[in-house]
Amino acid sequence: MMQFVPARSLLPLSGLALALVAAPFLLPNSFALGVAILAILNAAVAVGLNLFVGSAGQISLGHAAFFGIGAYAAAILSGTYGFNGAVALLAGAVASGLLAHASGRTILRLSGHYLAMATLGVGIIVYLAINQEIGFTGGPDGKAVPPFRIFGAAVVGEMQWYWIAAIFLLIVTWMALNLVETGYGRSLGAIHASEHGARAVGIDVAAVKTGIFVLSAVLASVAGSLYAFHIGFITPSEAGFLKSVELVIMIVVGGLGSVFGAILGALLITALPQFLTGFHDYEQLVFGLLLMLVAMALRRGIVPTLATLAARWAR
Amino acid sequence: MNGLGLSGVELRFGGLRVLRGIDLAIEASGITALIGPNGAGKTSLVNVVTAAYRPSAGKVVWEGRAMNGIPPHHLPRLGIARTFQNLEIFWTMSVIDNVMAAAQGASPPRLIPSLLKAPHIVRAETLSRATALVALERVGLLDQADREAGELSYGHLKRLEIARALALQPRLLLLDEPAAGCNPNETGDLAALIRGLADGGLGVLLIEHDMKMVMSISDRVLVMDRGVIIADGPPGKVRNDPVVVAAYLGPGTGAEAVADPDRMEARA
Repeated sequence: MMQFVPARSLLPLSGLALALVAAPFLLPNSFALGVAILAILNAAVAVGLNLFVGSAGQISLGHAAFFGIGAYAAAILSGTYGFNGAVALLAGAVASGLLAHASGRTILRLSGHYLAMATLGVGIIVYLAINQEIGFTGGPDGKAVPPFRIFGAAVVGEMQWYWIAAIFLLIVTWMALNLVETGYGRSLGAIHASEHGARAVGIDVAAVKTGIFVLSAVLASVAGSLYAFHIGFITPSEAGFLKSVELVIMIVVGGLGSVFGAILGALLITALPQFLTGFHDYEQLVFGLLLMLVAMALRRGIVPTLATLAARWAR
Repeated sequence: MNGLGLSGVELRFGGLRVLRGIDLAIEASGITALIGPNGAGKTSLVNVVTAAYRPSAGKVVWEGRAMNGIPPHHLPRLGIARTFQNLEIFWTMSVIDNVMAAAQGASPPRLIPSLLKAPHIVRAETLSRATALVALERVGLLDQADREAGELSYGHLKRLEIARALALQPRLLLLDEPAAGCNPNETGDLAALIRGLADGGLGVLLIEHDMKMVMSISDRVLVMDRGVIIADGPPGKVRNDPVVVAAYLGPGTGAEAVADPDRMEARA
């Protein structure tokens, strides 16, 4: 029997769909809608990164590189060379996947701090390339991105982009839930817990690690392309170290290994600075204190901690 | 040839010869125990057989096929499963998930069909759950299936590793010190479990320090010392072999000393 959606996740997945449908009607203005689009695209990246970091127990401090490759593929292929936006998006995804595969095969033998260093290196190289190749990328001044066209019609306006981002996130979430609730997810958990044990039960550890790294890179790249088309102008900072760190913070705050944790973390980290503007000069301070508070009070991240509490309460 | 065969297996680390020309044939039936004092090379031998180390010379043959150079994760599909001296449990996963991770062993799911939850992924899921439940029942952990592995007692964790290995449906099971760290009750239960598995037709290669257990359940005992096999035979014969006694208790004691399991264990 074909079973499209795992029964366990049917409820939360419908909840997410409902929230995504309701949000644009509840948001006060198009600025808020713009923040929501960015949050949703970040959420898609975070869900992918969380499979690699939270589920498989690896680390990437250079994931913004793939977001940047997607964004610049959109800008360069669609802007400079006039390719269709979808072609540019796919080309970026393929390039990100290939880079992740090539680098993953070598650096994923490392673990812990060494892997963090190596992925940081990949991120820095991509960032430098974007910054220096002024002829292609516009360098530090950034680059304009032409509008995305579907069958000749340009996708314009926050509302249209909101629905595109929302559908993308729903698909990504559905796929991630499928993954974590079946055998491949179990392989990720096994690798996280014990690579020796994983090998002993027949798991090709190197292949699975590379596979999930490539997947997370491709998702980041597609999100980067959509972001570039939506925002219309990009700078090298999309691929920068701070963006990479921000992505890791999202999944740590939301909950490592939790699909919905990644989404919640992305929403909070993207939207929080907007709410904190009232603190003016102290905005960064309050942001930092909130992060410390979450790290100390909800050590496993918001969603897993609350899920445990709810389960205890229901008992 | 059936079973496991080693011919002229050498393992060197720099100038150190850890295995010095091992020739051995092990049937894939009954319990073959491998014992020897610390540093004798038992674990190295296991690591060569499980493809974790590549022998410096010689070859390992399993069911007529040379095993040199195969990646360790191919071992289960050749019909060889192992447990670890230091537990390699998937701590954060439930007991059933630990075993299901192995139950999918012969053909682990691929990424893209898993993302789309293709029908064959769903079928494999049902199948591996059934396989895992059978394995848990065989080791007596069925009632623990839904607990998190980290919550289990030490003796149960040892059984969980055996269940995980059984879920791979092996023809040869390699047990690396299953009784280490267990209390006498747990050891007794484990011995009965292992004997039962062997009586059910599974070949067991048992690496163990617990002499009582080895002597009571093994069909054949191999004794290693300093990288070579020094004795090979049924437990009753090996127990009284002066060479074995000397290896455990030191030279000069061999002829007169009786191989007392407790004293041998104290040295092991």
